[in-house]
Amino acid sequence: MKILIADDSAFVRKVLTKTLNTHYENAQIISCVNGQEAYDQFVAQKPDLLITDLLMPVMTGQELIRKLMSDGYKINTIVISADIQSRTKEELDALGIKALLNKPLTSASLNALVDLIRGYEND
Amino acid sequence: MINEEQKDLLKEYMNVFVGKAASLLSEMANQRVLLHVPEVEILSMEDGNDWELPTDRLFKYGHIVSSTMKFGYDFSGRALLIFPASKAKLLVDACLGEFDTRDLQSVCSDLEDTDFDVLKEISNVILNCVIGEFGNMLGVKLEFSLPDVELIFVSEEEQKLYLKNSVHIMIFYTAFTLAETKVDGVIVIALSVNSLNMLISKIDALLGELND
Repeated sequence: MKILIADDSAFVRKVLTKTLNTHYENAQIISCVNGQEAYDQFVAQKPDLLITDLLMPVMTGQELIRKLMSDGYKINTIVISADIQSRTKEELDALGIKALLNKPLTSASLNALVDLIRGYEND
Repeated sequence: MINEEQKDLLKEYMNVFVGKAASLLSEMANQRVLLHVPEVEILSMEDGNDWELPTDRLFKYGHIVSSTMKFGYDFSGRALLIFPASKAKLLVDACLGEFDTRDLQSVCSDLEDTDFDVLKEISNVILNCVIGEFGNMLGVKLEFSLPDVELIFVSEEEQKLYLKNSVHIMIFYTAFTLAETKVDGVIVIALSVNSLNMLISKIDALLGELND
């Protein structure tokens, strides 16, 4: 399984990578620091799952998702964000994301992420 | 004074704390709050009066509404919420449910005493939320002063001095925009030296856990 992570925080990328490597030994993790880099990597690598932050420099998570959708890509997206506004959630629902997890990352939210990915694997 | 790894994690926490405050502001103003990437600046005490503050990125000179809240004891500093005065009335109207998009075209009216009460409440909620989250993170109880809301004229020269009027050396700042009223705001948190050390110790502990 290929998983693409987009987050401008090195700490978050490291936590996610460590968690995913622990639970999915064979997963290939691709880390990106903003939406534009994630877009380029998505097009090149065609990952099975996109895990993205929203507030990032250069290109936001919403812009990344919209750009991939407008290009016709079918994407499985999990958003991890500190933006907990109900209007943001509505926007993400409209974009058809699979799940939204709120920051800060805790052991509970990381377990939820692992369970979500396991659910997609079994689909 | 802090390395890139520490700075990255501090920004990430600021992002989370402001995200929670933005959610509260969104509910109060009944509109979406667009967030900008937070920044952390460390100011060298050794430079004395020559601190390089990014004031041009914090707020434009001219009339501003500035809300200041002091907090302490173990973790102490000063938190500011700054809006351009010309847009403050729009924010007040939005929070009172009286905002009309036609107001965007008109010249903003002067602020009245009741408007300052609303701005004080907004500041109280927003700044308490952000600072309270720092307290939760550090596991300390914080005491807050009531916000002091002022309408101030800041000249181009004074703009550079405005935030220097303290002994604090670490500044977090983040900007946001209310989607419909187009009100831009800035949250600034200035910390004392001891508070900075406390925060960095916590950050180091978190980074240590990750690297174990």
